[in-house]
Amino acid sequence: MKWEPIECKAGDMVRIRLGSMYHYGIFVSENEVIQFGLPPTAENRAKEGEVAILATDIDTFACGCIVETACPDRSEMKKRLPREETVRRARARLGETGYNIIHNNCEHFVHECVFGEARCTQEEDVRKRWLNRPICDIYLARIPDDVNGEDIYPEKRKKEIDAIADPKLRNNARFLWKLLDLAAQRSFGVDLEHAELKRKFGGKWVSGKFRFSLSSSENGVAGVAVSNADVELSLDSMLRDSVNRTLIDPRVLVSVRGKHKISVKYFWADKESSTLMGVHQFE
Amino acid sequence: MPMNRNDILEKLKEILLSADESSRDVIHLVNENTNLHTGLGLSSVNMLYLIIATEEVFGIYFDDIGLNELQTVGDVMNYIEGKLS
Repeated sequence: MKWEPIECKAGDMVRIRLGSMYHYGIFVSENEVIQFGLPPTAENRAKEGEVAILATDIDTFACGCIVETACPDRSEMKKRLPREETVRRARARLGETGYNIIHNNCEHFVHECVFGEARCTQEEDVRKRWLNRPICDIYLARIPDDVNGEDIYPEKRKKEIDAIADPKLRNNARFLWKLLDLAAQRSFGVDLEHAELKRKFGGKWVSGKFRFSLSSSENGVAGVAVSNADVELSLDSMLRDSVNRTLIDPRVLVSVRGKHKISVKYFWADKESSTLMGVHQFE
Repeated sequence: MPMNRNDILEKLKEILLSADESSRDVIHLVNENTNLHTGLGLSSVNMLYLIIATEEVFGIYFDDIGLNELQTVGDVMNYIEGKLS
């Protein structure tokens, strides 16, 4: 939707910009702009009392800023309610409280009056920014001696690991998979049961929720990289076109090739404790 | 796996870092007493980002608190703990 500093008509959605945020209202006349709370200036914020839907004149609404008017495009015009209905709905809600900066704010209010549906594009944009943020996390941990073989998902992967003849390799594989579970939960909020894991032709396991790469070092360190873009991890050997860092204790070369900036999360497992020891940044 | 207070603080630091990479040095030193506004200088958009990301990470809803009540990192941690308990 476009916003222009043009003359307003009754039922128009109007807004002002305060810092990096907008305050919205429904224009009825120069003496009546209906809004959820006063514009959040420092002075208004200091006022006591619950935030409520109220009417002010246009100057109080504008508080010295430029007033912009919504110019819905053709498809939005089809969805918008008649102007009289917008005004009727706004007036009917005068005095209502229950303000919430994220879930019930001034933009939700005006959208509901104009389109019949509450929404907040500012909240949607910020949520999108969070969900689409670049993620590339590497979890490193010492491999304990005797890793429990239970709670490994999916069952097919558990059977594969249980079938590894060499006890040390089997132990490493179990721990790597458990570290992957922790990484998936911490970085993507999903456990392996719900990570849409499947084995591709050739034996490589992939997830429908994130990309990952596993590696272990000669001196008993496990490494898991999880990302929302392609990622490849190698401990001990250097990958081509990679970012590398040598950790001192225990000494291990961490080599990673990925699209995003990388954070390293040390998770030094002591009897499978889940303590995260620290978060460091690869430069 | 239940989260302890340290886990919550680490998660909040990750959120703050993702909101403003350039303040990494300040965020590294964040503790419960750090003021969100005077200590971290969070803009209103980044404050919104902190709250929304916190909702996503911890699976909670900020449905019964005003932003003015969240002055320090410890206030956010207390709110999260209260919601998770």
